[in-house]
Amino acid sequence: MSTGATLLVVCVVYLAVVLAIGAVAYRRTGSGTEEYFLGGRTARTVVLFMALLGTNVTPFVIMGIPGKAYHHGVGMFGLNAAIVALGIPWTFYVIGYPAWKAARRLRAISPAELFAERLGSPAVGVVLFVAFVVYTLPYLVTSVLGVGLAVSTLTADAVSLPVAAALILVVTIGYTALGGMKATMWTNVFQGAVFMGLVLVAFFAVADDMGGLAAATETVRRLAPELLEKGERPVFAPGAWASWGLAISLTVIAFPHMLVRIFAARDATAIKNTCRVYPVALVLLWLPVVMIGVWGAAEIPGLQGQQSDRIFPLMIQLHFGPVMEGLALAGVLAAVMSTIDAQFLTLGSMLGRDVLRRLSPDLSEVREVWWGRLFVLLLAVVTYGVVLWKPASIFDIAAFSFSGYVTLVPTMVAALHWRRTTATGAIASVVVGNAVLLWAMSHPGLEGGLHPVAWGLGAAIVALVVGSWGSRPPPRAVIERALGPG
Amino acid sequence: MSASTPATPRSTAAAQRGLSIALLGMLALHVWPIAGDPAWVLWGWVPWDLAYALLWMLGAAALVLFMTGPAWPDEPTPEPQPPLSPEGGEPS
Repeated sequence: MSTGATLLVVCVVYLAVVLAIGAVAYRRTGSGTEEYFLGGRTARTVVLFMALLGTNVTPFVIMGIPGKAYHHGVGMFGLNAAIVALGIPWTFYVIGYPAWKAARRLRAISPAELFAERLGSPAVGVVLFVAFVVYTLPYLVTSVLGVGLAVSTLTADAVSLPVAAALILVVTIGYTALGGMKATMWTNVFQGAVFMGLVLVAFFAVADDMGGLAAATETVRRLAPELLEKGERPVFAPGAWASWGLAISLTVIAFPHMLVRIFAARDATAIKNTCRVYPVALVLLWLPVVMIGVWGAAEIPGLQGQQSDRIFPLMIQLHFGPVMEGLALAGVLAAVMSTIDAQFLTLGSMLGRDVLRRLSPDLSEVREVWWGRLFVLLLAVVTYGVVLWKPASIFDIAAFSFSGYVTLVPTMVAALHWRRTTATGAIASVVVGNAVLLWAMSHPGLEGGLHPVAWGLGAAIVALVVGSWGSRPPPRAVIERALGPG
Repeated sequence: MSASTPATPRSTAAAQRGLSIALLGMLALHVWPIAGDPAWVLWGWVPWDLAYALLWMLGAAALVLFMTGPAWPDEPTPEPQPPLSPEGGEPS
């Protein structure tokens, strides 16, 4: 069988399994919004963990991180993986769990709805909806772009980037629109197993093909020794290191598609168990992708800038035959689809809950779901347009997106822990935080050695406190309905 | 996970204080890592900067176990609340 035919068979089998799971979920999904968007809030540990991991892992990890490790070496592991192993579980504890409790009390479906109800202000929901859309769109772009690059690399451009991107969008929208949250969470279990399996197999198999782990490291020491230490690179300087650690740790809980997954948890035990497993999963995932990027720099030198985003599929191509290439492709597809399904579903739910229902309180649940589906279609079209434009590398697009999400964290923390928080403070925090972030991003060199996100976060905190103290808090009944007596 | 002995507010508060201190310590060790010999490798393939990060993650995993245990007491699942009246006052 030719390489192209093998790739096609592996991918068709993978997509067929995903669609079959989606179809089964569709038959078991009721018609209400809570059932469609949150799967009836019944996710136990395994499904919740795999859904969160699957949603969290995108081509940023499988394509972007090897691409950066190709240029910057093993320091990329400490810069990203180490801090999130602590940061993500901690944010689940500080924000995720209180948000899950409040969402249960309020029967909130979307994050924006939760904070609008907590602060007694529909305007908060609209502002958060806009912010979530603005920062989720580039994140969607990184996912679809990653697939396009992987497919075009592995098929030697027989399947072009535009065709691959269109295909992935159509299939994902298909099963998401039909089966809702239940479909996306069930498929995420399968998809998470596929990409975790791929990364681990690729790691050991590439190392074995290079003569073993020690021989692979020795090859790097001989050809690109600077990649085996952090060195004096600006990206690893203490200020940039600390502020990027802050960004990547805080951003994950601010992804609306992650927070809404937590809302779907059946109980606190599922959330706690997920926290416990997360650090182990991150080691198993990030160590291989960083090392494959570093080994790739020794074996396939000369890739410039964004070209290194292709190093993972290039290494697969260099070391293996068509079956492994097909599996690699399935792994990347799995990582992408398990994220963009959640992103589409969450943004679709927010349009209905936080915008349309405010404008038309009599909107039926069935119509709300259909409007959500139409909005998802529109988002897919815009995403496709930006993918074809490809304004920056996967890592850089994701960095923009992550930074924006971080400016929303002060509002989340304060609304859940500080009863004096007001809608004015929350809106001021989002607006001022993002204005300062964009200013810092557009004035490189003026950030004082810090990543721009540090300035945006600081401004968001100040605006939140000043805005809250300068305005009246919501009535006590509104606060206690969300947070309980206090 | 369910604790064999119920957590008291005092023991939970003490655990949360301990967690905060440990978190600060971990952050300091992340931002200002211990410098090692770049030529040193663990198991013949893990260079110092990578080994340090892996060791740090081991500490992080232990801290997460502590966080999800004594610092995070079990609570009953909250019940849905009735909607408020249009004036934002008592539940209707």
